[in-house]
Amino acid sequence: MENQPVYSIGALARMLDIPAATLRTWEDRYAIVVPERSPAGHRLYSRLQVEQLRFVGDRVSTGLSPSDAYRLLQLRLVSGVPLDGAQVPDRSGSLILLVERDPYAADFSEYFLRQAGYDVAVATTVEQAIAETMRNTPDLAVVDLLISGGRGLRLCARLREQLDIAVLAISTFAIGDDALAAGAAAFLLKPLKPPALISVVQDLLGRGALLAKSDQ
Amino acid sequence: MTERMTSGSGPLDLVLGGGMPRDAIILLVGAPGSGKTILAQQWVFANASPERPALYLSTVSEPLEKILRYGQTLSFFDARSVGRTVWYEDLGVTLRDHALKGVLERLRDLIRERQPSIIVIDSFRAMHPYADRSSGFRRFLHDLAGMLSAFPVTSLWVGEYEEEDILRAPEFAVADAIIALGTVHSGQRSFRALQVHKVRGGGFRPGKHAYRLSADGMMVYPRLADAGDSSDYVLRSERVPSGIQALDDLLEDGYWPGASTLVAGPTGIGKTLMGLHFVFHAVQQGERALIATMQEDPSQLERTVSRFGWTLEAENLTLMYRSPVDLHVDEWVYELLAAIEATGASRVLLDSLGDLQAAAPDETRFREYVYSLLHRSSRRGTSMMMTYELPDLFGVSRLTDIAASHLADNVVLLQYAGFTDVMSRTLTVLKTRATDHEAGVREFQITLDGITLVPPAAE
Repeated sequence: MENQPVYSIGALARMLDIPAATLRTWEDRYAIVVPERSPAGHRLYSRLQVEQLRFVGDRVSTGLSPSDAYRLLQLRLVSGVPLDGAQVPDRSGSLILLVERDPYAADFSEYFLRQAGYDVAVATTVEQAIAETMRNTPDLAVVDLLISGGRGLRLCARLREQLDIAVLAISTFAIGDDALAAGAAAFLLKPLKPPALISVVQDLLGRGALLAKSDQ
Repeated sequence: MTERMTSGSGPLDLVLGGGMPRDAIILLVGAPGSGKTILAQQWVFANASPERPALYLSTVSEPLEKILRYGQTLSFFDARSVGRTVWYEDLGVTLRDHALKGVLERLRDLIRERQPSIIVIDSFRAMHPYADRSSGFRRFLHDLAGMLSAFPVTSLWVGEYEEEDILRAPEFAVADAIIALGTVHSGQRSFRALQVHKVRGGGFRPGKHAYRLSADGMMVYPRLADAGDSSDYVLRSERVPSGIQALDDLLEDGYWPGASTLVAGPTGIGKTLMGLHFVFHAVQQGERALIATMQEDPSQLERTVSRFGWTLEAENLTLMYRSPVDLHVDEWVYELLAAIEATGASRVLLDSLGDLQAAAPDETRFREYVYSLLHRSSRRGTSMMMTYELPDLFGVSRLTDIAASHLADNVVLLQYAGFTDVMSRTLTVLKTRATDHEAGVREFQITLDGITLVPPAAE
């Protein structure tokens, strides 16, 4: 689990445009997509569960009842027929703030994000990250939790609560639970696999991302 | 414990404590011809996939063309994978024209382009002379290690390093794991041996482990040195005849299945014959048995056993004959254990322990082999009889020198006696574990019926 990205319920709600309360109700009622719980009790959704809930959400949005949508999901899971690919809208051109202390890691992440069509601003300290956020209002921040001597968690909380920026937390340490508790939408363990980085960024900038700001 | 990946060799994975550490820097060192490039390619082809491509970088030690030419003679080399999941690149020209800085830039571009999960740099040591000043190589190392740590890639740095370089060369401090390929000399003989010096974040099997190179790559024989296993295992409780009348007559309660017996004595006394009686008793009972011999080839042995009405052709008998010349003790022990496992043999004759001792690199290793072998056979309920030739025709000077005399459950001493026209043979049970036996020296004879005790002369 620690090698895979984990998403918070809040991030899922924004990504899929489904209220968190609805996700919790579906979890209790249908018991098909049940996220792992962190020691602190936070729901940790896997990438596969994101796809499963996206599948359900897509069908509900076309008029199917949640129970029928879950029945369909169950059939797909039993038969092994793959779920439809994620219908993530093209958000290339979005600005991503990369807060990374390691120059080599920053170099790779910036390269792969730019390759995927995103604009990238790199900050190597918490102060630079705040200044950059004030100046350009990024759509998403990728934050190394060890930034500026380990002030990444506080930066996550500040970006989320005060500046309303969605955060993908990354770390060499398996501290996804702390990251989600601090307000990060998702967590990835370093070193980052380029496809995983891009797919999580796409998820977080998905169709709900535009709504995230207007919700608040 | 770090996550592991296969080295391409199951036994080597055991030595490494589960495989190569993932997302790590591993140094593979050894003299030219020790098999570094073979192991590196074995690792590459065992792991490369479309999702986890591999990058093999040659430098200035061996031309890429040559690596590929010899590589394709290896059974695991899959030419169809080259250019799909395995990418070979030559850093030699970059190194010549742009030195170490050029290597860093080229490597960064290759990582961006190929997104490899594994990288081999062969040879790493050959890059040393391209540092522009004394601190240049350390700086290069720092940058290279930083770059490789920032990406999910496991890299293998291959180099012709000496044992003492491990303490001196800065790359050894950077490495997360160190595997050294070398040679162990024993008298006029030499063996290839591999040693793991370091695996950061995990355990590994210490000591030297024999290996062989072939077209199938590197075959490793992990040093057979079972630690004392205190876990319970079930010993069979019923006692059975050993099949040797003379021995059964001296063992008051009978013979324990799974027990090990050392039969020591001078040449020609009947040690092998005693072992054959032991084994063929099981064969006649319908059990499976195995003869592991380095003493007589199959033709000679067939002639011997036929005198007693037996045959090596028996369906439930397996013969494992290996010449003692250039015997590879690690390979032999693994072969024997595999044969015991495959046949389900309840009895094994090992003829002789002396041949095995001569092939072992040293006395300590020999003890470890014997201990591990007896431990494993005992746990699976296989009875082992081992012969050992003593140099003295009369009397015994140093039986305690034989490691197996301490480790075996039973020790039987066969001796010549008498200085009359006809030499007689005597049998003494020196030791029996968990049972009682008749003490004293008893005369025995070999007849077509086997080995029987001679009744004591009337007073």
